[in-house]
Amino acid sequence: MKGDHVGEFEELVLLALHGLRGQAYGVSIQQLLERETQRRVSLGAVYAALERLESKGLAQSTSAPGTPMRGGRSRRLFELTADGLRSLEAMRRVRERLYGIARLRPIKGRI
Amino acid sequence: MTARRTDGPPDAWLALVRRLVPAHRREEVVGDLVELWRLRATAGTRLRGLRFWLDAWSIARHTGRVPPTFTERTTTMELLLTDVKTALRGLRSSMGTTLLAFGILAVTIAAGTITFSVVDAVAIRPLPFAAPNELVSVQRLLKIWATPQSVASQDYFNWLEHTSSFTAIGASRFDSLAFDIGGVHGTAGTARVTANLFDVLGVKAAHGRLFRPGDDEPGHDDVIVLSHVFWTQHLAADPSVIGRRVPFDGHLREIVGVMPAGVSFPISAFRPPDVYVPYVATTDERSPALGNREFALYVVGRLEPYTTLAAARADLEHASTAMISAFPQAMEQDSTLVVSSLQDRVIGPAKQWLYLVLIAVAVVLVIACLNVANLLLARTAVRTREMATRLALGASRGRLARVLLIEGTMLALVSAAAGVGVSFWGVSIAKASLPASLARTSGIAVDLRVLVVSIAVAMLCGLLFASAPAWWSSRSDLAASMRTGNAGSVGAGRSRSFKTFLVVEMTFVSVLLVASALLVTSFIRITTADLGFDRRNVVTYSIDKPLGSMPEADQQLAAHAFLTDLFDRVRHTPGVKDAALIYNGLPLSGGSAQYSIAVPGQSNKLLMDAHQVTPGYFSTMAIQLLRGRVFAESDTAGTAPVAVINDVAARTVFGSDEVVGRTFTFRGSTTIVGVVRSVRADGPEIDVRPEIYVPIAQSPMMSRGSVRGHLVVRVNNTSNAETTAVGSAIQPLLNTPRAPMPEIVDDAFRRLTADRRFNAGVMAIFGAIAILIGAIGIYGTMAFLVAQRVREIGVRVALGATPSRVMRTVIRDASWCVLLGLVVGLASARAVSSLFTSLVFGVTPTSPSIYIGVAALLVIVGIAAALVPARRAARLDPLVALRTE
Repeated sequence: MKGDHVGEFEELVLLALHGLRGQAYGVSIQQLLERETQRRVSLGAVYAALERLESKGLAQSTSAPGTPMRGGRSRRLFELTADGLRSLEAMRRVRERLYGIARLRPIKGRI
Repeated sequence: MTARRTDGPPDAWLALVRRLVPAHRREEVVGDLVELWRLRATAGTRLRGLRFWLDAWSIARHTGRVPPTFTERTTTMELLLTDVKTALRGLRSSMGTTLLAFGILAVTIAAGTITFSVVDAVAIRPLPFAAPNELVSVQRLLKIWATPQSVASQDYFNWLEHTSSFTAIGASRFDSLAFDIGGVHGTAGTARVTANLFDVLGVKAAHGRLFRPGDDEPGHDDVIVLSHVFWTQHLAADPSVIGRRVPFDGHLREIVGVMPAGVSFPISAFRPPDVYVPYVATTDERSPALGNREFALYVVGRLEPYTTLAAARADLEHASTAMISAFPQAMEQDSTLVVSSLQDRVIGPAKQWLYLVLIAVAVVLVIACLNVANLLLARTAVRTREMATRLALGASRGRLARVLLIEGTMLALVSAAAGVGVSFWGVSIAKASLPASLARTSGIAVDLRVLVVSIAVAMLCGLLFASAPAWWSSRSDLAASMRTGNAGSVGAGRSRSFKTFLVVEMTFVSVLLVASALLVTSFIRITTADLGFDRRNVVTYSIDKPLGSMPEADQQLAAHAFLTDLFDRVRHTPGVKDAALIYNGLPLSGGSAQYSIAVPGQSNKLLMDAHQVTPGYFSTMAIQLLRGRVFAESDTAGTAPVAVINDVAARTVFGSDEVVGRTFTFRGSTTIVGVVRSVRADGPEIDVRPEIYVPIAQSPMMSRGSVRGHLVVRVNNTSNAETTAVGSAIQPLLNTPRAPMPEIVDDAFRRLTADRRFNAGVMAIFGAIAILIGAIGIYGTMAFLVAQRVREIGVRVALGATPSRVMRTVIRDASWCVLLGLVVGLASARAVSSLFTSLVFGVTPTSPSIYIGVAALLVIVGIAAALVPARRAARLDPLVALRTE
């Protein structure tokens, strides 16, 4: 089971893959996450997460031509697999249930 | 949004990154990095370089960790990283050994760095002048003296006209000037220099100008150049002082310039000059016709291109000979000229012992390396099975050796970093404790070259001490190691190589100990040497009492009255035993002037140290009277001139001890009334010279309008209270704004022997480090060998060996190594001992007691160090020992 667990950062990367819709590669993911989380995200961490997601079968990659911005060097585009999408939805359900429970319960004093 | 093609990380960086990444990912990774750089450039993000490398590093880190895609093919860099990790694990697995090795290396590298910094600044770095190798110094060596002296001004002016070997010759002489700046009174050490001196040296002013031709014309010489130190201390480093007129010795002098920081001339044992004034020679000083010569000029010349020192010397000698044949009265005594490079004169005798210290620190380093090698070797032996397992799993022998080399190098580098860190702090301590007599100590610092040398040495050490284990493990017999049940036992051959290391280490330790013992003994002999007078509890005060203008006869009376009054006050100060006055040649004060003396029946004039003293001088200084009498109050200007000479003068000049009653000519015919013991006025290491003493009361010096000299006071102790009491007792008589400064003669002696003290101290420290490392080596090796032989010892004990017998075996093993090392070491020390001849004092470099002492010390330390493992072996329980399988 442990091998299939999706960590918090991996979850963010999965979301980014989906959100970038076919334009997800190292830099675009890193930029999106850095902007949205307001945290420093290293390229290496993104790569590592992508590798793990790929090995878990949640993401897949294809090679794509480069842009002038990167001196024409090729890119490795990532996208969600069907499993990846299911995994995201499963995680979302868990969260929403938990948020729902959290909202129902009145906050009393200190925890 | 198109970025400029040139905007991006440097190509070299990208090339480096390529090495970090597997080939089939390079394009994308490099592309991403470039794109990210440009995005950041557009956004104006700062520290792009740093962020680039953080990203690159994180990629390298992750690619190394993440299977499978990024590690399908490993790069060289990855291999190396793995090796580094393995090496780190290796170092961590035996923390004790690692820390010990680290400690030993850090201490020795620090010692090496500090020593090299000092030697470099003092002896290796060129002088701060233009083309310093063209500069030569000229000195005169009189036959009766051991060391060359300054030259006479007549010589200088003669050479100026009649030599052709030099593009220019300059000269300088010491003087002192009283100054009064902003309410601060003081005496400035002064160099009177020829106007061309700074041109000869090629020195440029930091501010204003230095001297130029014409500054030494009488009437135009009221100019002064300040040293950088003086300018900073007394004029607040204010550049606007150029052109200001400041009183020196009562005359206003215009400040024309400031010397650059760290540059002074003469560079000598004494403190560098505070100020420079032009040297204006009198007719007397220029002309050899009067035969009145004073040896006081420091002459420096710049050689013409392609002129050798020998040719320059011949040229100078030729000019001098011509002068003497024209003016025979200029002839003094048999003498030769000494022409040497300025660098050699500046460093002088210090060079030898500085290099000795450098060699000593190298030996310490070798000892440390041998020791660390032994430690690592022992560890490697323990890890034999680990190595064998790795080999069996497919690691190449080269790769194993590489891991060991990396271990060694990393250890060396970390130790070097710590050592260099320590040395930054150590250098400042060394600077403070260095002998003041050492020239150029202010330039001592840990600089880039020193760092490079330290790191190079550390790398070399790393390679050296890692290569033995590496070589070893690469030859290890795979099958045999796997078969042994006992992890990492060593055979007889291996234990022999441990002992060989130990023997070599002991050899170096004993050589170093002999050197330390020689220098420490020399220092002890020096401090206890007989100087011919009692230097303890004597304090001196410099006296300069103007008498005002009055007829000569009145001056004699006034001087006499002043001295009576002076001694009266001093002798009534509590704690004072005796007091006297000496003019010229106070012992240990840094020299004395020589005067020409003619002895009936001898054609040459003789130069002798002539001291003018009051009658109490001999009793105050405790100088022993050998024959005749010393001076009495009744020896006055009105009575026949008398003199006391020392025994050396009696023997060398008059050829007999029975000289009382004989006469010589020193400002008139003088009768010898007594002979006293010779005083070593320049310290224990300088030979005694012929000296004469004449009564101050009969001296014409008194008539120059002032009473000058050193008041010498013997006190009960030289505590601050007593010396100040004397100073304030005499102050009213001197009409000075403050009491004269006490100079304690013992302090002067300590300054004089400071280089010896430093030398002995450094060598003692090195000796201590060496013997400590040696002891650790013996302990470590023996402990390791005992641990290796646990089973064997267990069997022996089981078969009936007594504990004391087991102990003896271990100690015998250790003793053999120590003795073998000692024999080789002492023999080598004996062989090179002649190098020490000029560095030792009061002990011969081959003195048996030194060698016996070193041997005894090393044997005791050796046995003590072996005792711990020996006891461990003796206490071994055979049941436990045999169970180790």
